[in-house]
Amino acid sequence: MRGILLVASHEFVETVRSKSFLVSLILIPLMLGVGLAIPTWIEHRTSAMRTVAVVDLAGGYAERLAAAVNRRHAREVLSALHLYVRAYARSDFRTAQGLDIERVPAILARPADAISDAEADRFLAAGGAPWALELARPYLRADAPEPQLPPQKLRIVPLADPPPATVLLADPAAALGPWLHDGGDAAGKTPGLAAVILIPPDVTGVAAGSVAALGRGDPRRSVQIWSDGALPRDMARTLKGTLDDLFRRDALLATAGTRDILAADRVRAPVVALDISAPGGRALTLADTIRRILPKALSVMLVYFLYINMFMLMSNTMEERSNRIVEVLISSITPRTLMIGKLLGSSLVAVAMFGFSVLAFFGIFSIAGDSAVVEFAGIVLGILKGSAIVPLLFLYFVLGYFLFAGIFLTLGAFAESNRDVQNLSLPVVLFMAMMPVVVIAFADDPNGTSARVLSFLPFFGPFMMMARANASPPVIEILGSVAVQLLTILALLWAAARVFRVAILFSGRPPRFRQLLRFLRGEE
Amino acid sequence: METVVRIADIHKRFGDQVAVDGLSLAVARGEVFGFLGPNGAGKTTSIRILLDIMSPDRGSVDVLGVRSALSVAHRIGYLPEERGLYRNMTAEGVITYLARLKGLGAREARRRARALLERYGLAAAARRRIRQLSKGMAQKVQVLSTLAHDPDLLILDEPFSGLDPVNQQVLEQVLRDLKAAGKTVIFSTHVMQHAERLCDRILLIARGRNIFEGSVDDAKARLDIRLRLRTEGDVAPLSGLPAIKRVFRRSRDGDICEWEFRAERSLSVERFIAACVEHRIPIRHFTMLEPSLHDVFVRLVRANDAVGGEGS
Repeated sequence: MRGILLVASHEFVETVRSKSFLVSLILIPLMLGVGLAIPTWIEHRTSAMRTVAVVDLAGGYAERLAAAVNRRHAREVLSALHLYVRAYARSDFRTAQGLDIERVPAILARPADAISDAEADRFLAAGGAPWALELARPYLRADAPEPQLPPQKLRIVPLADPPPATVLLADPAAALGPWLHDGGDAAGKTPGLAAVILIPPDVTGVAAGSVAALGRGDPRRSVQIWSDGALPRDMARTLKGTLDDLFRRDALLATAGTRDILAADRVRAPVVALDISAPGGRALTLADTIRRILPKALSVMLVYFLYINMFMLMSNTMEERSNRIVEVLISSITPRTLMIGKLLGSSLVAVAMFGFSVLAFFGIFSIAGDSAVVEFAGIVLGILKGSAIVPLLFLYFVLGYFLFAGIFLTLGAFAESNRDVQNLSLPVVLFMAMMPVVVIAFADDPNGTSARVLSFLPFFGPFMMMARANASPPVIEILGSVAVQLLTILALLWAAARVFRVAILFSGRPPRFRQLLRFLRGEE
Repeated sequence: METVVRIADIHKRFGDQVAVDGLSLAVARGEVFGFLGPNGAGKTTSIRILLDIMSPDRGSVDVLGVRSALSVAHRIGYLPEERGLYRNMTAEGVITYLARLKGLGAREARRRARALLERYGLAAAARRRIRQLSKGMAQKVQVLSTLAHDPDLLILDEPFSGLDPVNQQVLEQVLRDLKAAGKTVIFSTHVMQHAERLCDRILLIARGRNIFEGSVDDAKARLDIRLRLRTEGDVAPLSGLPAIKRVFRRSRDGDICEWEFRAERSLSVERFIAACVEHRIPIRHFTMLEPSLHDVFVRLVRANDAVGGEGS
């Protein structure tokens, strides 16, 4: 035991004092940021057309909302087209300053914010992007590639055959449930609805920055966006922005010519997002969004952490082998003691790095002083405190660590140089690199068949279970997954100990598979 | 005298290659024991088996009264053939860490590390990282790291390789100091001069087999002695002396020739000189050459190779 603790403390102290550890401390908070951004980016990239239905009890909003959403998309297309024409315009339609705006149609020659509603409507009425592209062709070079125009991701339609207003206002969650649960399929309602917007009869604009404008007002006096689960962020942003524009415009028209027009410019829509599946149709908040994304982000973070720590473990082992000090070590302690000590020490390094990174993560937010960022950090902390995520994160981190540590330690024991480290670890590194992609792909349906199957697979289990942490997977699945991983760890460490004993004194080229089998049998 | 190391008929094979083939040896307390053999003879493998770093396929090992050297690791100091240290640690840090692995407490290990570094002229390098030291200094640090826990038995695999002549002398002195302190030292080498100067007994191995074990004098006794006589007379009468085995002329300078006589060690030099006087052979110059350990080594290894070659 003394030998194990000595090796572990040496491994810990020497690694923590190394430059690579210090560099990792700087890189990890950055990678955490990237980890949080990846799910959002994928969500943004992969979102297909979503249909949102409107029940307009106030009157006059539904059609305007649909038109505004369409215009919003029209401006996005025209903006992309404007940049495209600027880049690929023929030389005779250029001036020293760029595009010759006198000779190119106005609708193509201006950025999105300079395009009026009338022009956007003309664009839509004429046929949208195909029409505009044909309009642009005479001004383009022959070698201009096909443009990448943003697809329409949101469509607003009236809710077909809506329940009576009294029913809707009395219990909107129950009334709208058939349209939203399981995409409306189960009740034979409009399938594929991403949300239903309920606009109450007496809704009015509110001041920017007010509680209602921030989505925390009284739902009965706010525009209610109902969905089954959290709203995708890009959709929520589009709906909120469009509704804000409508309410501000109404306020401006109502106050035209009066002193109140200044205040009217600061009017926003009172919008509240609500989850049809939550008890009582609880309002969706930033915390809901974070709660949805956080497990996925933490799962990705786990992979990053493990990769960094595995690389350090492997490099340290390679150094001990290549500088031959390992032979002195195993004349004092058994190879098994050395291996366990190194695993223990490097796991302490990993925990230290993890702790530092979490502190740095929130420290950076605090120093930043940005209220939104601090609010974000506070929400994350609140979620972590109020759920089992932290103990689960620790559990899955430890499982993930020991799943890979034995493999990397043994590979390091065969390596003589950094090149060997890279070559030997490449298959495992590629496997690890695949993990975040798989986890993100399947975590959107956290209790679906694919996610559940992956939870029971060796190596995938800790990461998949982490990504499912907020979906309340059954306890039996947690225990089953942990049991599978523990058995895998025991088998791997048993094999690693047998191979490590031979590997550290092995000379020449890395062994072939048959040799590895021989080592596993205890032969040298 | 108490035997501290006993190896009995050990065998070790790696795949098709036989590394050690029935090796046996015994080393007494306080001896400096030379473990000699050409490259690839099986010295390092034997040492690893002795230290329980490897297991023999067959045979037994007894070190300081136990079967596994690891259980008495705190009484053994080991310097491997291929050397290296933690490049980012200080000289003092490395010695301290390795001494702690041998069972010393942190404070005592550090105290001894400092004392050793000071004693062998490395006090100024104590806080420098290994990568900042010259190769010779780093090698000295590694040697000192085998001594810090004051072991009873030292096993040094090719300790002189890579050292410059000055450091070789320093290491020879270290070994003499250890012997004077009653420690047992086993070291392997293929440089015979060191063994000749330092060893009480030697074991010569080739192809994993024991081909000689005994004192340096015993080893030398395996070869004839050589007498060189410069004279202008006829040496034919001397060839009939009982211990003389062979005579040949080495050189000629006018009437004076230099002759070499190969003789058994039982030859009496006084009798040889008396025979010269008796047969009126004028002695211009006379030299008696003892065989060196190097000569013994080369002769025995070649003989073993010839036997092995015939056998193969």
